[in-house]
Amino acid sequence: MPKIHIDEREIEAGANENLIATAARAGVHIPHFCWHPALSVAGNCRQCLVEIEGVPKPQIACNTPLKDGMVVRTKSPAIQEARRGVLEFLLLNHPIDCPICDQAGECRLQEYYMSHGLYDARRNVDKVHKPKVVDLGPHVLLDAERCVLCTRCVRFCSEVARSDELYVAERGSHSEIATFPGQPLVNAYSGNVVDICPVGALLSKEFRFKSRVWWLKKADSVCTSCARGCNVRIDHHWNQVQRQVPRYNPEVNSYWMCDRGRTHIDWINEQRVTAAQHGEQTLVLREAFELLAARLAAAGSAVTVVLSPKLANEDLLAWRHLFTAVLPAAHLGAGSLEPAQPEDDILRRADPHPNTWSVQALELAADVRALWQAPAKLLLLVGDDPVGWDPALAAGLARFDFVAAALTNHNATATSVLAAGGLLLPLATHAEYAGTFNNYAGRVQRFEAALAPFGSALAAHEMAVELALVLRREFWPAGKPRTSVQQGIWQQLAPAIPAMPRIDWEHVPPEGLNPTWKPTARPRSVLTGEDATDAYSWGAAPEAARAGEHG
Amino acid sequence: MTSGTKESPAVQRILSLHFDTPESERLATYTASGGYSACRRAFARPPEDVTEEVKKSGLRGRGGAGFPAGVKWGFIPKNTERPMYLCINADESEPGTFKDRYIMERDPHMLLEGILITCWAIRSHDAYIYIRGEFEDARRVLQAAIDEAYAAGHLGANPCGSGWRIDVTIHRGAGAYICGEETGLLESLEGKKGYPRIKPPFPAVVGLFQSPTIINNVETIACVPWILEHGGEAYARIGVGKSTGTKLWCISGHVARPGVYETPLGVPFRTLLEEYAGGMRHPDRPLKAVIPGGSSVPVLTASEALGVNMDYESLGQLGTMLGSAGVMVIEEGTCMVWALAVITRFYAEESCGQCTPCREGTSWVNDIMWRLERGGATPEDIALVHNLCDNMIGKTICVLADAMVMPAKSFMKKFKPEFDAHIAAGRCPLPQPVRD
Repeated sequence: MPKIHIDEREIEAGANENLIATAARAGVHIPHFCWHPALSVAGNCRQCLVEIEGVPKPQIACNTPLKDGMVVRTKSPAIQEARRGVLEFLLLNHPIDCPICDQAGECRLQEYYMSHGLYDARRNVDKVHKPKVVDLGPHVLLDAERCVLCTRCVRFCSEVARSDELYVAERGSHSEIATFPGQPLVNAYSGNVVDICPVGALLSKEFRFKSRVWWLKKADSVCTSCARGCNVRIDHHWNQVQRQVPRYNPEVNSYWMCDRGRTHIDWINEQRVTAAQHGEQTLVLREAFELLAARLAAAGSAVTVVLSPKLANEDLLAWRHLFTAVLPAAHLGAGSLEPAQPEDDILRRADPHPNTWSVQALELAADVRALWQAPAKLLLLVGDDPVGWDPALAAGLARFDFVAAALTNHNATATSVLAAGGLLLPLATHAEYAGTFNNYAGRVQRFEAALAPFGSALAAHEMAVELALVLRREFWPAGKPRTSVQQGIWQQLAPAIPAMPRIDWEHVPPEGLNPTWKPTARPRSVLTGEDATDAYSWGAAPEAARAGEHG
Repeated sequence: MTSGTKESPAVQRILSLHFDTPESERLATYTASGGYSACRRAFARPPEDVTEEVKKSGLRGRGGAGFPAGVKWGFIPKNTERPMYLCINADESEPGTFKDRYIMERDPHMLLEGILITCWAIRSHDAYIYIRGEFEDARRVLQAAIDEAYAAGHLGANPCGSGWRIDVTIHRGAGAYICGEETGLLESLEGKKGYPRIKPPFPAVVGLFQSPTIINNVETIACVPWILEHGGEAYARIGVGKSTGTKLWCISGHVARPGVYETPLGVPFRTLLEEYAGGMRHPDRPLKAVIPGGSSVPVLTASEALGVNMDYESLGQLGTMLGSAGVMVIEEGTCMVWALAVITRFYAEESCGQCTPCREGTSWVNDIMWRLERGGATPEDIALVHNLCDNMIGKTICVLADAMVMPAKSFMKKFKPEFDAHIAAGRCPLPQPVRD
């Protein structure tokens, strides 16, 4: 590998690494708009100009081949002036409407103006005007006047989404990003163009005017919309999820996520079950648990428990333990009637659940309709919306002496349960607690708590522990853990299941844990029946370029 | 406009020799004067020999950059499995340039024979002629010549009995100046928007359809048959120093006889003007300035021009370039601010918009230039334009920005009093400026 000198620092270039990425590892940020580590090199913004000893003209860092002994200067007076000059050209026809721009606060024009600009405006002729609020497609709006024409979005659509909806129309100072007539931006990954737009030109219809970005608090999470488990960041404010954006993980989703996952956040914010309810009566959580405990005691083992593949590992482990070891139920299983999603070879998986792998590893996989029919006195549902997916199931509830459901949302199942005189418990979503999912390939991925629980909502595993307490049964095989409940579950409950990985829950790295263990039986996807081995892998993106490459 | 007809002992004509022959575009006319014999000589030699012969000739690219053609051919990688392509740049759109059109309309077979030899030299089976969309006449003549050549067996599966298949295809441009930039041309030829490519990789390694490609100007390739016929050393003896051979000059502007004239390189400008172009069009309006190599090169004042010899090095010493040899002659009474504004408007309109400094800079400078011409500019505007030019030149993918900066800076420096007078008067101070 060639060794180069950047601003007096010597550093070895990585394989297939360009000067921007190498410099980043040396702690030198070379400003740039058009270069993106996962896209082809365009070299058009000209912001990354650097001085190379022995080369008369300034060179673009994004496309300059690295040679051994190369001496690079990124802060010489000539380069500072060149950057200032390019920035002035970029801002020449820009509307400078930061106060009403969603990008303000995470905009490269703003950042670089503060670091390399700080000049007085010399514009003395009329600005070129371009279209504003252009409806490009279902999720994206364009303000062409704010655009710096870096073509990241064009390259994304052509190289990653492989749908080629965007192009640069016109030429010279009238150039603008556009779609062809009658062919809007409809690919399943269109929201990513908003992320990679370095300025406020491409706007998310869902996030537009929702929050200033500097109010947003951020939490690492995992998308729950399919079995891929794209790594995401939940940006939240006022205890509401404002947006969900992809988090770089070369093993899972690179820099991207699909539109369905990105926009599937309203269920966290709205129509939530925030208190326990029995018929028309609202209960304090403790009363609700006592009611359920009494009914469970009365039913004996004639109990059917239906878990959801949307529940985290900790939840599944806790409920499985509760109804196998602590209070054995006749019927225990996990499944869902949610239909398969469109699948492709980019990210999207047909299986719409984040944790099917673990459901199978825990040998919980079951048919929901069969569980519904199984002879039992009490039906307990945790998560999901079976009645919503199959309204015919509502009639079956009357068959049970008692029905209880821990649900996140006031959905069709909640309505049916209450109508049948049942008990509704407020369940927390994955945004409100920390846990892990195993994606379709068995990769253990941890999500963090972003929001405070809505009302008195509890995470499913907390409910299981609480229920055991109310039932006056010992939940913990080795005594109450001194660590977090989740860590206790992994230490005390998981080892009994050979197919589950051995992990240190407190220290699951942000990029997740690759399945190095060998499950006894290789899990197969419930929906497609295919071997759930990760056949799709992303090319290695430059390590150093990860930092700050979002947006 | 007519082609030059002036004969003198010093004159040596290679390219324009048959321009005035009746039916010069026909195959029969071409073969009657010995055409398609040079390519037979070439096919009889190994390709490397042909390249070596062209290297010996010192032939330099006639498109504007003046890079030695034989050296360029040598950049083609050896031992590649990909096909080689030859692209002929016939997108002649540099303002003031109209020589390639003459070759294509009046001696197309000379170009086709040059293509045959070049294809053999670089081991290419396919040549594309990217022709400017507006050149409909030239395209028609050229296509007829190609058809004739195919019919006669000079092109196709077995040209001149060589057994080396060579196919020639014409591709018409759609009117963008930037498609004359060699990598913009390749993009356009591939069916994409004419955006110049970032280098590296260079076209000789990764060019058309991701394959090694040589791109040469029409005039360059048209010189090749003569070089193979008479030898590279004979060609190198014409001209001066490293400026070997003859050159087609496109003389336009305020001269008595504008047109295309051929002389050996190194001819004094004064000779070109007085003996070929017939001097200035109005005896009472002397020479004011000359743009010697198409609109994108720095301007020369009258005194500079009248003392210079027309070759790469002599023009280089004056800080300008031979470029495409589009010699634009400007007479006294012409408003230089207006002339520059016309030039900047061209580049602002033709910027492809890919690189930031060119996209925004050309149009900003153009706006200021027209305000200077029409009134309303301030003294600071001159300094601003100079600074904007410094921020554009050498900072983009291709040289379109440089092509505007070079005339802009030289006009403002060499004719500064006129720019100052415009600002002082708030309009063009000339009573009856020449505007044609």
